[in-house]
Amino acid sequence: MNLEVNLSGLRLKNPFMPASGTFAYGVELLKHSYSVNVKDFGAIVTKSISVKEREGNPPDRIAEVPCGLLNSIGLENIGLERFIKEKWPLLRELGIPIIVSIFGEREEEFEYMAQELDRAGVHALELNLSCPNVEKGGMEFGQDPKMAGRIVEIVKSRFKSGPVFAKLAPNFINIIDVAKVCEKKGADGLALINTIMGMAIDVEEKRFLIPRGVAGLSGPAIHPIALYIVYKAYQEVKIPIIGVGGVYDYKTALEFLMVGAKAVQIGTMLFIEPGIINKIINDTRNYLQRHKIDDIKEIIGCVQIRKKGGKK
Amino acid sequence: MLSQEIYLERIEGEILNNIDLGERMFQLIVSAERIAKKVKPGQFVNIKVQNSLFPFIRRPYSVWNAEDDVVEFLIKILGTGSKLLCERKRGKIDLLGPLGKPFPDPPAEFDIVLIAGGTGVAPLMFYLKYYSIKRGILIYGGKRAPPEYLYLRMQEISEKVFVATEDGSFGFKGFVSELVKELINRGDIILEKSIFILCGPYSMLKAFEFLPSERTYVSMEGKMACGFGICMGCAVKKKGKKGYYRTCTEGPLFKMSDIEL
Repeated sequence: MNLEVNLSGLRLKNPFMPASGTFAYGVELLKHSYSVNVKDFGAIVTKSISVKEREGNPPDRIAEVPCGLLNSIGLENIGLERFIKEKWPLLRELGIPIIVSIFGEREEEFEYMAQELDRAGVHALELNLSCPNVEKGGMEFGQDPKMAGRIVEIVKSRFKSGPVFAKLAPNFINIIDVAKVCEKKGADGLALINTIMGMAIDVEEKRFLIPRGVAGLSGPAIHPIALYIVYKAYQEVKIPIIGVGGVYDYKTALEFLMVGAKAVQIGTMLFIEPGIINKIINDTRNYLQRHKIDDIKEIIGCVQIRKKGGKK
Repeated sequence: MLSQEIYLERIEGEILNNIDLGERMFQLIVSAERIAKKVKPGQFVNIKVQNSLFPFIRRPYSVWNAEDDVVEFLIKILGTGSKLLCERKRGKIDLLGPLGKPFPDPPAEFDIVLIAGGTGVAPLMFYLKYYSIKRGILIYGGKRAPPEYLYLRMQEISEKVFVATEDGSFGFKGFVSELVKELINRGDIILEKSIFILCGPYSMLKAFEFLPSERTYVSMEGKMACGFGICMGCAVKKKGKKGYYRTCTEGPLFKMSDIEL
C-alpha cells in the first residue's frame, strides 16, 4: 500500500503532518513520549519563526469556544538565529521533511530568512502571511493579493533548497484571489487555511476572554469552512494544496484529500490527543485496505460537485 | 527542554466515585494505577471531561491524593467543563499525565507553611501527606467555610490547620492574607524560619507579596490547551526579564521572585 505523496518535489511518506504553531519546534516530544512517534509523520511544520525573537502576548492566550479554540499566542518564538543553532540540528536528524514556517513584518525580513534558511538547507518553507505588514499600516500580508504575491516572489528568489508554500487565511478577502496570485508569483503549494479571526466575551465580567479581543479560531468548528476553501482552490489552481483546519480524526483528514488536497495538517487536536497523527496514519491504512485502494493518490480529488446536466 | 521527562501517556481511568462535598466541590476518585504510582505532589493530570467535541480541551487538575492504584482530585464547579465532570459518576475517563514538575523535596531546616485558596488546597495536602511533613502549617482561605469533609481531611494530615473565611462563618474572619499576617505577629509562623508554598486564585497570590519572595513559591494555573509544552498558551511573565515561562512544563510551581504576578 502506498501512502506517499509528492509536494512539488518534497516527498512525504504519508500526507499527514502537524500544523504550524501546534507542535512547537517539533523536537519537544522526541524523548519520553509514549504515544507520539514523530519519525512516522509525513513531515514536520515548525512554529513560525521571525528574524528576532518574540515574547508573545500576555495571558490569557487561550479560550475554548464550542467545538473550537481561540488563541492569541502572539507568535512567540526564539528567533531565526537560535532556531538554526538549537533546533535545526535536531530536526535534520529525524530523517523526515522539515517545513519551516516563517513570518515577518517587512519584506526584507522574509527575504533575509529565506536566504539564511536556504543556507542552512531546510527542506521547505511555509509562509505565514497572517502577520501584519508594518509598512502598510499593519494590514496583514495575506489580506492583499499584491502584498502576498510580492512575499512569494521575494522568498522564491532567495530560497532554492526546496518548495515554498503560502499559508493563507480567509479573513476579509477572497482567499482564492490571493491563492491565484501566489501561484502566479511562483508558490510551489498552498496551505489552506490559517485560523479565522474571532472573539468571545465573558458576559458576567463584561470582558473579552482573550485580553486583546481578537484571536485566531481553530478546531473542529472551522473544518467545513476549510474544506470548502480547499475544494474551491483545487478548481482554480494547479499547485499542490495542503488542507488544514479542524481535523480531528482520519475521516476529517480524508475529506481534505477527497476534495483535492495532497497533504493534511493536524493542529488543535494535537493538544488533546498528542498521538493523533500516528492514529490518523494507522486509521488511514485501515481505510485504504477496507476499500481495496493501493495508492492514496487515488482518493485525491475523488469527490466533486456534480454539474447540472453533467455525466454521472 | 529535551532532558525533561514528559509522560504523554493517555491513561484510561475508571471513575470509582464522585462525591458532592458541598460548596460546589466534588471529590473525584479514579482508578488509574500508572498515574497513581508515578505522580508526585504538585503535578497535575489533564482530564478529558467527556468524549465530545464540546468541551474538547482537557482540564488540568492537581492531584489531591494518590494511593495504591487510586487517584483523587478536588474539583470545584466553575464552568461548563467542571460542571460536566462533576456530573460524571461512573465510567471510563481519559487522562493525560502526570504532567508538570513536582514540588521540591521539603527542606529539613525550614518550617513549611502551605497557604491555599479554595481547591488550591489539593496539591498542598498531597505534599504534606506524601512526605509525612511534621512541621507543616496548613492555612485555608475561602469566601465561605470549607466543606466539612475537606476540613476533617486537612486536620488528619496536619496538626496545625488554620482557616480564614471572608463571610466569617468559620475560623478567622477576613482574607487569608490577613490571617497569615496575624499568625506571623502572634509567632505561630516564624518568617525567617519558614518556606511558603501558595496555591490559589491570582487575586489571592497577589496579596502575598509581603512574604520573603526568595523563600515563597507559588503554584500557578493558566488557561492551557495541551499541558505538555507545545501550545504556548499557559504563559507566566518572567520577572525583570523578557519573555514568559510555560506553566505546564516549567511550572506549575515558581519562585515568587522569578515571576510577575
